[in-house]
Amino acid sequence: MALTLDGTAGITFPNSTTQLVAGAPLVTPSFTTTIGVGAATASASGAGISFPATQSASSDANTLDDYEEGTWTPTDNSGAGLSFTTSATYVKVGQIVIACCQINYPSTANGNGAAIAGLPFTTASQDVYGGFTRYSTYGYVYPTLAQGGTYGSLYTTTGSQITNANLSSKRVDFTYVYRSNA
Amino acid sequence: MSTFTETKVIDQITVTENGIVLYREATRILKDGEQIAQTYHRTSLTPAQDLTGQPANVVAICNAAWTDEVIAAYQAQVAQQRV
Repeated sequence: MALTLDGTAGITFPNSTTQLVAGAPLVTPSFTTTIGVGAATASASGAGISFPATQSASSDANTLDDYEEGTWTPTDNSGAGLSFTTSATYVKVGQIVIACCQINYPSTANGNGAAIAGLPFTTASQDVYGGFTRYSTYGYVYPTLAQGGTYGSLYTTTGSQITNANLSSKRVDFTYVYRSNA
Repeated sequence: MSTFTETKVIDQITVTENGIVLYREATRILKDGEQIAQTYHRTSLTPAQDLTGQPANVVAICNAAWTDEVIAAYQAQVAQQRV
């Protein structure tokens, strides 16, 4: 296929359309399959953008450099050694992480403050984060997150930390939204 | 007739500055030896956390990274945050 460089006018393609070197393109690229960036192998399914399995982080504030989805395991961080039954998923888009979980507390009389660990990515250290409750058999739970960590605690909306005993045999579903450190 | 197999591998282990160890387990579905799908499961471990049931290579990295100094610094970081 021959392309013609004609100086000030730009690049002329075989179908006689011309794309300017500077300014708005006259021909808009269109892809019917998935494209891979950063040497990523393009996914064989669907149509979209495939990022590298290991993030190639960009320092540019306007560059989307990562996408990943998967599951994670919430664990007890209260010091009581509780075993949960859980279901949890996450999506990471750039630095933003949305981590959802369903936690079923065991029967317990432990009075420690309810706390969760095991987040899929470390929170950034310069901000504070939290989440919101989707469903709960206890009542509204306000989940908080530590800076530069993978853990948080569960509070009432009035600021009191909920205890493990409060959540005995209860189910809480909530979503964290936070900025990760990568 | 195609043959489908499932493999699990820890394809990523990261140690953060404050000693948190994060690892990712990839579950890969192979069709006639060629990968056709992949899912991820992530786990994070904090300094001095119980490592019972964790993969041996992750335990080895945790034990190397979690020096007394790292554990003490991490616990101090946790203590100064009210979350």
